[in-house]
Amino acid sequence: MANSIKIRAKARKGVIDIRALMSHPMETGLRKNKTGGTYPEHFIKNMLVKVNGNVVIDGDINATMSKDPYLRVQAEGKKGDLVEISWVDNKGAEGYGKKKV
Amino acid sequence: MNRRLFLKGAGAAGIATFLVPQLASASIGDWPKSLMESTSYDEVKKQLAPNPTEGEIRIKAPQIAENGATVPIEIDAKSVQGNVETITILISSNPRPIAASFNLKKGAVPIVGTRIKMGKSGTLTALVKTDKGTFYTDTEIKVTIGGCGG
Repeated sequence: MANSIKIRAKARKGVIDIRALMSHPMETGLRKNKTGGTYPEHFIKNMLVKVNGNVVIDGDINATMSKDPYLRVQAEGKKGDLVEISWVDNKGAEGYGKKKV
Repeated sequence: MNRRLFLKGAGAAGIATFLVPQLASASIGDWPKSLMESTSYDEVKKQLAPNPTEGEIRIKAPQIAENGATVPIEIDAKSVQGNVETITILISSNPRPIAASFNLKKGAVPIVGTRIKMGKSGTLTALVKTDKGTFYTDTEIKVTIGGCGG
């Protein structure tokens, strides 16, 4: 999946403000379906934010996060830096997105 | 190549692949399963931080959330002493209390914003681990079911 993450990044006073929107169902495994069973759990387990190739934030995520997760983080940097975000879910699927500040 | 040599080689390769994903991309290898799947808020809190100090963590969250499916929150740990290493978000009323745990590396500013699900009203606890200790701040969040937004 190329660029499955929408990223907005703005640099101001040496800090990059990163906002990312990922598209993912984030099933908790508790929601009931019509037949009386539950939808199997399917959620993002790990998110990684990189600036210029260096890992800045490494997040372990639980199913508690809302559907289509939104993430806002900040990191030191300047205009022209490359922000990369990737995620991996409990089924092993991956997502990736990048953006030049 | 005899068997022993072969196993040695495989072992070395195994270590190499174990170390690489950390740098390459997101990995679930280090996902703390037992902690994440724990269902007891008190237990998780105790395990993460046996005796945290009340700290100056700014939490931006609604007092009353109209929709429990998306509760916007933001944790600002800039005014906490020391270098922030991890920010953990706990919700007391959820089946799995840990919402997320962010490990901050060099260059990160200790602000994390996201949206979470909440089954019912409860306490949001932000646990911030720094090199000077562990700090926490609680906030109550009320979830109104029915969407009238009273």
